[in-house]
Amino acid sequence: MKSWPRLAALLLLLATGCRHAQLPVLPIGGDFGLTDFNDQRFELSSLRGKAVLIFFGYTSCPDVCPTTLSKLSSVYKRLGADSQRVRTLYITVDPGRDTPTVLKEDLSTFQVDAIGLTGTKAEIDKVVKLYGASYEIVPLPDSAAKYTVAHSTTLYGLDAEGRTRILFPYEASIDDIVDGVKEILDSRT
Amino acid sequence: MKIRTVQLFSFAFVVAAFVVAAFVFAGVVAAQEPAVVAHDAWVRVPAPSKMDTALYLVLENHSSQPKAVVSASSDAAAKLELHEMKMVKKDDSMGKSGDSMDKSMGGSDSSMSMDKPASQPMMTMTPVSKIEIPANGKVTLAPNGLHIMMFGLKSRPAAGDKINVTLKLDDGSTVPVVAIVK
Repeated sequence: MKSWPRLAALLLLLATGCRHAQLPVLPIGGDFGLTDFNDQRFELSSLRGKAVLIFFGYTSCPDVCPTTLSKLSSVYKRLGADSQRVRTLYITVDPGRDTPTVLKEDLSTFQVDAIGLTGTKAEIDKVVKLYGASYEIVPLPDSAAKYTVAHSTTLYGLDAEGRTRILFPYEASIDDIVDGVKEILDSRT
Repeated sequence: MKIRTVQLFSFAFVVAAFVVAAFVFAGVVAAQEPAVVAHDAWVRVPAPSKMDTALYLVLENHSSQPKAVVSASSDAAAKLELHEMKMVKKDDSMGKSGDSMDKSMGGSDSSMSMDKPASQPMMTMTPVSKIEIPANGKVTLAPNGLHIMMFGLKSRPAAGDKINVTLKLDDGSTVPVVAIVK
């Protein structure tokens, strides 16, 4: 019986130790290049040393994308000083409408250190495939929207080496994302 | 003594008249109360480059008959449409549910996916022909679900502005809505 406290302490130590050491490196993602919202070439490798959050969206999206950006605004506030070590990449899946100027304008209203990225369809498709994301252009002939873009809503958490470490589902709470980002910042490289 | 009795009768009469009037008034009000009422209506501030936005609200049906919103209009925008955001799995074939999804545009080249890990669900926006409000029930239009799209805003609304919208029901009646921009 006397060994229980020791065993509990050992388990706690293991659990605490594992939390950071065993954040998995996921077999998706990788470096890519696109055009940023300043119309400059952007390479993911330029963000080495920072945690990176990536999601795919489009600015005509009336609901999901602003919701994600609002959530990320809260995440940045909650991270405090650590937010300086985190960049967000908003990759459009609607390059026909989302020019660098549009991305710059629409991202400016959110308190997120985000870089809007666009490119040719081929360039964007390459990144979508790299990250196991998906999207689909759906014509809406009877709607003023003309077409909508169905898209996956996962938020990808990358570590300072550009490796994908956590996939946050759309339902992830602000707390979930803050905890996950901290875990990535603390993870061993 | 006689005067006092008369005064008492007069007082009782006045009270009774008020009571009757109150009941009649309440009856009239009840009869005029619309079957469907809207509350907590709000509109998202549109993105800087956009003149479109989404309207959210709660609709309560106080009648014993199911009702449905079939259209919406507003002087503030060119066109209003009933829409729904849904999570669909790629394998669900986006159109099997019978909605207006069509994968024909651009052929298979317009979609990208990867089989591993398991394909992620996609969020999609679909116009719907009506929004049902169950009898003696309510429906909530909120982010990530049903909403009313306002296309072609005539001027850029700012937080705190109010926008008037009229909803048309399947029984031909209308529901006035005042939405706050935020």
